[in-house]
Amino acid sequence: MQNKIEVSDFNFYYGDFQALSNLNIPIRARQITALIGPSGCGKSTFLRCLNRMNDTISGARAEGQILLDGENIYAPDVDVVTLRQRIGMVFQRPNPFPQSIYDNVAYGPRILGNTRRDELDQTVQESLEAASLWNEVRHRLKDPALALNPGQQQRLCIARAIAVQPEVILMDEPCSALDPVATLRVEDLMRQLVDSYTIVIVTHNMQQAARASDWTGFFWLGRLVEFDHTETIFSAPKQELTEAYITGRRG
Amino acid sequence: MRIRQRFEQQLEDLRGDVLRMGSMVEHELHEAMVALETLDPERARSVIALDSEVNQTRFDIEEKCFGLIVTQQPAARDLRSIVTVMNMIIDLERMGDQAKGIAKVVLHMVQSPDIPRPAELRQMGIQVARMLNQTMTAYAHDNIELAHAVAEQDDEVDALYAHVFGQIMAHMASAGTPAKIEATYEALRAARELERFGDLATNLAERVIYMVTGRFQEMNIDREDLIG
Repeated sequence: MQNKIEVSDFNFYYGDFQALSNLNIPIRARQITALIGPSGCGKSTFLRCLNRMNDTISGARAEGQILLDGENIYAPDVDVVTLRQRIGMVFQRPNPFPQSIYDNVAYGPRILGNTRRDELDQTVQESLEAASLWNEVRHRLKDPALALNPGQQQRLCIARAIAVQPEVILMDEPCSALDPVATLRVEDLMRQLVDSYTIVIVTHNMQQAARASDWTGFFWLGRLVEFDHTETIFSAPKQELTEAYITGRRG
Repeated sequence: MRIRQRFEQQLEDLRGDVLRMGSMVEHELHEAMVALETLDPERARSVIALDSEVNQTRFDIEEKCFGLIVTQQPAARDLRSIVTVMNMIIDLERMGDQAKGIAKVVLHMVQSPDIPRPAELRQMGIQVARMLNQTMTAYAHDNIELAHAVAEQDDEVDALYAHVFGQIMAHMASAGTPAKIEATYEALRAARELERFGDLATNLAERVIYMVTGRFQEMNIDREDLIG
């Protein structure tokens, strides 16, 4: 199986504090990888390292390599804007721009220089279809995005991420603000998207990781304790610490 | 009590339930073997009544398992121990059926007391009872060494069965009438029930090993399968 991202001997520091230690993680192409662990274990920090979202934090420093299709994303000549177009992100709380539904999805393509109306129309429709939102909003594309319910807003954010045709989608607890029905819709959507994209999701919801992902990595105090097939992690983990965490004995 | 503590207590209670069910089946087998030894129809009938209790116990335990799965959404070792229980109670219930089968053989034998009862039957009964007892001890203490030892003993049971089979075939060949052949078949049936009882005890041991280690391991390999 091909690795889309290969993390090797990766360390990350906030000033003197080492937030991530010696990570080695294979992220498989067109699979869903879930990252679990208690609050503060470094999983979100790691997710943000995957598209260099931590770069702007003062004192932040990375060591080691993260290879995207074999190229180190921390190499000095890497254009971060292009990198973030290839590796998109969906956040915990739905964060649509205070604009219309249409303009939210068209935002990325416009930034990348696409201004042709017919092409934008097509991209907006395809992205909304891919995010399973098209049928619900097709007749009100000019309505404000903030008028949508939270589940629809999150799917709109996914459509916005898809619109720039990324290769990888990072999701940081994308369902924590959603009800169970909206959560299932986002999970269904992830399963559809994974035919074309590589997905990495951070979640506190064990059942979500078990249901939706193919691979699971368990983080503890900035280290990767165990990484394996999701089924193995949740039925017969090899590490005592993983066992204790997923069964609720530690955390 | 905190939620996790309560769950641990429920898992321990579940283990206690399975151990009690194991004792019930052990008692059922013991009664069936005494009935066979003494050709006591009353005792045989009491075994049939015991078996209904075993069956009911299985359903009660199964219901508890469903309750724990739906309320606790268990994972890892917790999940394995519940799934192990759900499998073990099915095997234990079948072992109870095997003991009941022996009781039914006794009821037939009472009608024709000259049916042969090879001495190996008694040995088989002692052997498979020991296997069940050891498996339940292994389950009670997460003892995988003991579970492995149970599986090894099944070879002896199979050897005893082969012995009984040979004797009964010889007896059938010399039996003059179809009625006598049919009666002799009953003795073979008893041996067959005991042999299956041993196989299921081995299954239980496999379940215990899975519960503790998370790995499936087939131990009941049929020698004839190996020969092809």
